[in-house]
Amino acid sequence: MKILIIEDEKELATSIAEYLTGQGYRCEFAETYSQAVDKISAFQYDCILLDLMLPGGSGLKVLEELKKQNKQDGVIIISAKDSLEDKIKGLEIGADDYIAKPFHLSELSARVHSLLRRKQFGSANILTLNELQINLLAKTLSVNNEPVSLTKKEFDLLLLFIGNKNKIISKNALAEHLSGDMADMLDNHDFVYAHIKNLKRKLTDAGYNNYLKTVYGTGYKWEA
Amino acid sequence: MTKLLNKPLKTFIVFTCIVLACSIPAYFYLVESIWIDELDDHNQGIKTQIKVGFSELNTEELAESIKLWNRVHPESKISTVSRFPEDSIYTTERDVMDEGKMEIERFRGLLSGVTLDGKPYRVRIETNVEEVDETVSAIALTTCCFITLLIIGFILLNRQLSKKIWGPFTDTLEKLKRFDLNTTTKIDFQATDIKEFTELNETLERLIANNTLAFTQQKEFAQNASHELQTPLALLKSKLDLLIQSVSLTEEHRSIIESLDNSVSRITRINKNLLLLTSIENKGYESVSIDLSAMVRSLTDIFTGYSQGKGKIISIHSEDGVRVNANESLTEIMISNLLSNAIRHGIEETPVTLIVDKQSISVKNGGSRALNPDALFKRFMSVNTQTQGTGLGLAIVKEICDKYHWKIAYSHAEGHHIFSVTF
Repeated sequence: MKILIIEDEKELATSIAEYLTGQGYRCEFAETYSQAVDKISAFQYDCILLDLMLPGGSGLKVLEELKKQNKQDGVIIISAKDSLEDKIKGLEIGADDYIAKPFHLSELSARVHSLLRRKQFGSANILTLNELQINLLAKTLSVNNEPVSLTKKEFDLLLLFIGNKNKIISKNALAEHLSGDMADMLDNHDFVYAHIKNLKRKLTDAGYNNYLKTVYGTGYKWEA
Repeated sequence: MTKLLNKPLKTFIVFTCIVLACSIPAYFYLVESIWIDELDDHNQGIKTQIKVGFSELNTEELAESIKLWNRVHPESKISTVSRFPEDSIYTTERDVMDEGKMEIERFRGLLSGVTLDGKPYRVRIETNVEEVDETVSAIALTTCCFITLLIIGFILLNRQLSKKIWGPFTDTLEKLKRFDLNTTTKIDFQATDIKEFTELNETLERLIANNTLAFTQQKEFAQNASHELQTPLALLKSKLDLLIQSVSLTEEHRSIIESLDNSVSRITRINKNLLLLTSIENKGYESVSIDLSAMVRSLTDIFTGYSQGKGKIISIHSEDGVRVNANESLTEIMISNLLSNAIRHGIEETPVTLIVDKQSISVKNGGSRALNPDALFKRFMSVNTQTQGTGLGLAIVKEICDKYHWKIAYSHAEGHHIFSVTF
């Protein structure tokens, strides 16, 4: 899987690349508008991470260029401008997802994972992971063909873990993921514990081996 | 409070009354003195007439004429005296029979002597003068009529003037009352030919322009600063995310990283909320009809896990089908801020109650001491490091309420804090 990171902040780009490489992706970089246009014209990527504010031109122009060339690369906009207009405009032109800076790498990785799954399998999107069968479209889970009832939040958590296999996810990253767009984001880690505990219990009850590990003082990890 | 124009009006009216009242005695003395002067001349004239007319008569004719004169002119009398009298002028009042009624009349008299046919005669001539009270009352009546006319005139003119002259001023005042710094619409004051008002309007225009500029710059600053922070924060976050993956970390390292991560997370929240605040102020949000009852229920579901962690239950008392017109995500933010605030600050083991009806939504939580309502909705006024709040939650609620002209109120009753929003 090839990912192009279009981001002028070099340090951020390398951090993203380091994390995603650990997840088994191959990453390339573009720092300016012209570099970005050169790369997207010359190569095919599975996923493009696109910053909107680039030296030499807007990221939205890169997106337009991509669509003009009829490329099917998946695009996730990563922008410091958390404005609704930019988000709507980007999605209208043809971006697949939008994530506002600052984000957790685990969040980004989960989004990339989910985008690539969608691209690859279309609507018949059932993810099989050992005993787990996750229907990404219907948002349902089965363990050994037995359905397990999860709340929306628990399902969201599960997807975050699946998208970050063998990575430690901090409690803050989990809290932010769970509170979504809520403004005064939930700051209490009890809230995270409660949801994790429920998810763990449901998986154990369904006979799934305990792959969800607590890392002392840091967060949680899905070992697979 | 009196109107500006009514103040001088009162003074003018009082002054007019005083002047005109003073004029009553003045007119009286003037009229009286002219009167008396004329009458004295008149009496003197009669005396001369007697002196000249009677001087050429012989003794019998004289006696006859005096008799006749005295009969025809009862108010004057010629009588013989032994000694030539000295001239004197006097005023007297007497009862006089007039058309069958007794009336007091005033007379101006002249007592003098003439020599007729070589003998001294005393001549007394009296002429009727108008009485003092009659003169005074006539003058007073006239004056009062004029006072009334003047006062009516003043009031009517005042009313006309205040409409005409003060028109531009009232217009300016009305526009200032309606002015809202947030809307940044330019005010156009009515043109006027009055120098003071033109100056006032010019000064106000300059003042408003300066303030609007400063206000916009301040908003832009907050927005730009928050935007600029996003990238370094993203970098910080990503580096921490990478750091925790390291296997060689000791427990001590992990706890340091955790506090770092918590702080970064908090800065992120504050920054995000600041951006939200500025965008509520500056931007248009699409309004739709929202089913508030349904929104409250789904939000409560999300909060249940959080509140359980703090040993609180959320109870909802909601009427069905309560709808408001507003932006969906802003309304959601408003309710979730009120809820998380109640859960965060409420006393443990006390329930958080949410009441929704047609006009309002209120959130109730346990709390022993009333809070200062002036500081509650201000930015960063209630930051408590223990609770990890951003200090912006209620400021955001207030901002959203202001945007939709809803009324947010805080009250404390029976050991409960109550925040209510009235639509």
